[in-house]
This record gives sequence, C-alpha cells and structure tokens, in this order.
Amino acid sequence: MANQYMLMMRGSPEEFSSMAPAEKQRIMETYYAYVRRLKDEGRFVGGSALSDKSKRLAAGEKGLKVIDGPYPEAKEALNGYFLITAASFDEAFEVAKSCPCLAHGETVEVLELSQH
Amino acid sequence: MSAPPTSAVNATLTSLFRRQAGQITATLARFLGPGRLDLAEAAVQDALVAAMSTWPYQGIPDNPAGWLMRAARNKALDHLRKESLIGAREAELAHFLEGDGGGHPVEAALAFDEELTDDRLKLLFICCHPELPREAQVALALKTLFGFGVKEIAAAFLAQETAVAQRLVRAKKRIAELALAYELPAPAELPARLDAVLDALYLVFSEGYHTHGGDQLVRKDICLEAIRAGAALVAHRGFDLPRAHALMALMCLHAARLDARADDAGDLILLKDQDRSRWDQALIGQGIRHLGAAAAGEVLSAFHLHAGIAACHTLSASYAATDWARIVTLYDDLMAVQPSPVVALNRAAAVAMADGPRAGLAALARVAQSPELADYHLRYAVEAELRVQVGEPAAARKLYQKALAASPNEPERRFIARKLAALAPS
Repeated sequence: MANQYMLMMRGSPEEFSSMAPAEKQRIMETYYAYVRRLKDEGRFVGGSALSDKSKRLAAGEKGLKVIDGPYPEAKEALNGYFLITAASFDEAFEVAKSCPCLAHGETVEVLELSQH
Repeated sequence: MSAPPTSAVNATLTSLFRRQAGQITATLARFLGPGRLDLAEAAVQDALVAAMSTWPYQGIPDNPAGWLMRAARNKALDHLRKESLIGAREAELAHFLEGDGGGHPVEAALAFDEELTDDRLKLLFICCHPELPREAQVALALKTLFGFGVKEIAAAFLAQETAVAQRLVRAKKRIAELALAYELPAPAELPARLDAVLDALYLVFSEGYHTHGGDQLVRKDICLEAIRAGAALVAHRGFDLPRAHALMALMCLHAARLDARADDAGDLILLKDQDRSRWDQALIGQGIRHLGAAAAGEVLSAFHLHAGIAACHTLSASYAATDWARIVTLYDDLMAVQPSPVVALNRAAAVAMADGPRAGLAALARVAQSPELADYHLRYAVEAELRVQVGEPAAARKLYQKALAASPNEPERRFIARKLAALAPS
C-alpha cells in the first residue's frame, strides 16, 4: 500500500531573475523533466512552486493576530512542494535525492503523511 | 545535476526563452518607448520566471511564445500601475497591454512576422546608436535582443560583470536622454548606421562561433540567431546592400561547418580532419547566393574578404585540394583593408599551407610580438603546430603549454592537452 509523502523545497535559491534566459530555460527543463518522471512512475499527486506572497494567522489574546510575510526566517522560505506516492519512506527519500532544487542551493525535506 | 532532459522537452522549445526574450523585449519597447528598455527587460524576466515556476507542474502551454508575450505584457502593466503611469497618453499602450477583450492583440500581432521582425530591427538600430560607446552597443544588443546574461557578456568581452552591468545601465540611461523614436534610421543616415549594426551582428556571431568560458565549443543557436537577424536586415528595403550580403555570406559559410567542428564528445575537430559530408549544403548554398549579391558593390569590405576565404574552404573538395595560394592573396587584401595581428596570424597559417612551415614561421615572426596577441592561445597553438612540422618538439611543447594556459574554453583546452600528450618525451 503506497503512502503519500511531501517533498518540501526550502532555501534561498540563486536569484533567477538575473539569470540569462537560456539559463532560466535550462533550470525550468530540469523541473519539467522531474515532474514528467514522477508522472511516468505514477507517483505524482501534486506539486507547485510557491510565490513569496504569504500571511500568517495566529490566535492572540485579543483575537486573531495577522503577521505579514516574508518572515525573518526567509532564508528557510518554502519555495515549492511535491506530493508523491511511494512504497516506503526510504523510496520517497530516494526520489527526493534527484529533486532539481538541490542543484541550486535549496534543501528538500521529506515528510510522511499520516496513514489511517 | 541530473541528465539533461532534452528528450522530455519538445524540440521546438530549444532556445525558446532566448529567442522570445529578444522578441518580446523588442515588441514591448515599441509600446513603452526606447527610453523604457529597463521596464521591457524587467517584464520579460518576470514572465520567464513565471514560466519557470508554472510550466513544469501544469505542462508547457500550446502556444508558449504567446504565453510568454501575454505574461510579459501583464507584468509590464503591473509595473506601470505601480508607477501610476497609466494616463491618457498611455491609452494606446494600455489598449495593447490589456487586450481589447475580444481577441488577444498580442497573439494577433504574433501572426504578423514582418511586424515582429521590424521591431527587432528597430531595437537593433537603437542599441547600435552612434551616441553610445561601441562596446556598449554590442553589449546592449547581446542583452536585449539575443538573450545574453550579464555573466555571458562579461565572459565574451573579458570584462568584469559589474563593469558590464554599469555599461548597460549607462547605455539605457543615454537612450532615455536621447528620447529616440522607435524607428529605423532615415535613408540619409543609413550607410553610417548600417556599419555599426553589421559589426554588432558579426560580434554576436563570433561569440557563438568561438564561445568564451563554459564547456561548449560552439553555440550554434547564437550563430543561427545572428544569421536570422542578418536575413531580416537584407530582406528589408534599404538594407539590401552589398556589405550586408557579404556579412550574411560569411556567417552562412562559417555556420555551414559548425556541426563538423566538434565531435560527439564536444571536442574540437580541425578543418583538415572534418567530415566534409557533414557540412550543411543548404547554408553553403545560401552563403554563395549572398556572396553573389555582395559582389554587386564597388567597395570591397572586410566582410567580402572574410566571406571569400570561407568560400574557398567550403567549396574545396578536400583539405589537400584547398587553393591556399588564393587564400593567402585574400588575406593580403584583408591586411590592406583591416590590418590586425589576428588577421596576420591567420595569414601566417595560410602561408604555411601554401609555401611550407618555414615560410609560415617567418610570416608569424613578424606579428608574434604584437601586444594584442600576447595572451592569445591560437597564436601559441599555430606556432606550436609549425614547430612540430619543422622538427622542434621541445619548442612546440613550451608553446602548447602557453596555449593551454590562455585557452578560453574547456574543449579547446582538452584539444591542446592531447597535442601536448602526443609530444611527451618517450
């Protein structure tokens, strides 16, 4: 029975906007190929890059407290995620090892979704 | 890095970002005005980043070029809104940028290749405006029209990235100060203005042909982009001039040999070892046609002579059958029109083929001390090859070591390293 795993891509990647167009395309193609592979292997459930637009809600003493992003810990910002299926945590971990974000200074965190 | 996913991506997408970046910048600049090149560029960069972060997950759109154009248009509009610049005067711009509700004007515009070509030509002439320093002209054309990054331009000019970035900022500021119209130069200005554009295209082509930095020997896509821009130029009434055709001939004839110039591992193959059946006959034919059109003029430009030399090589059945005496004569003419140590170096190599290695070394001795060649790897490589031929391997080894240290890209370094290894004392 396959479990679901979340691959979370974090970090402060190289500044994409200052890269030459061909370099942008090359990086885009590595992600495209990775998604294709996940789909071909039947393990792609979902995924997306994330923009830096964010707000945080917390319950305060006087009601809800809203904190606008980006946060002080922005260097650990969540830039994107994949939701995949894998037979085991180890298999998901192997899949994460070829995540293209690792090639440009981000980290991947592998989390197992709770099973019921 | 994982393996390059070329098979996963439609072949038509190759160099899509590079080409569209130039195209969209040119089209946005038409509406924003040449003074807002920075905004056009920023909008294009934003659009490409948007594509990077959505296409992998949602799939590549059916019309990727149209998608990028629409995204860039929206980004430009966002920027203008932030600047509160949308007033009555910008009505036309807003109309274009927002679309008219019914169809997409951008996509309609995409159908009119001619108009797009015109945009690129106009931007090319603006980049090469005589009020801008020459090195800024080429840098700006590389950046805005040919999708080069600051890092690549710095490598091509052997300059610091910060210096190139400043040069670009100043050039864009100067264009804004000059309040240039987005149009082609008036017929009376044409001859003077055309030369700067031809020189810029030649430098773009050369950067593709002799790539600086990185692990690639040639970047054919850049060569072909320069040819595409040149073809648009000569197809335009008013630019159908002999020296423009001469440049086209030169670029086509050189590009025809590109595929044969490197092996599957990306290593350099010398002219004498190239498989001539791999030369692109269509490009050779195109080059020869342009050479014919170039002959209509009375002035023999450097481009004519370079093209003539390239034609001698491409039309020769084999390396041995090459008419070296004729090539030496063309180099003599070229030295009269465009005297330079690099031309003299090439001439010396041709002399060696026509009259033997000792004659080549004698010709080389006259230019070898030129400061321009002081750190030029091919100057050492040419002499090293001739020293081998006259039986002076120790001298050749020293020269190859200098060539190795000065070589700008990895495939050339590997080539020279193999030559050195072959000379190793047994």
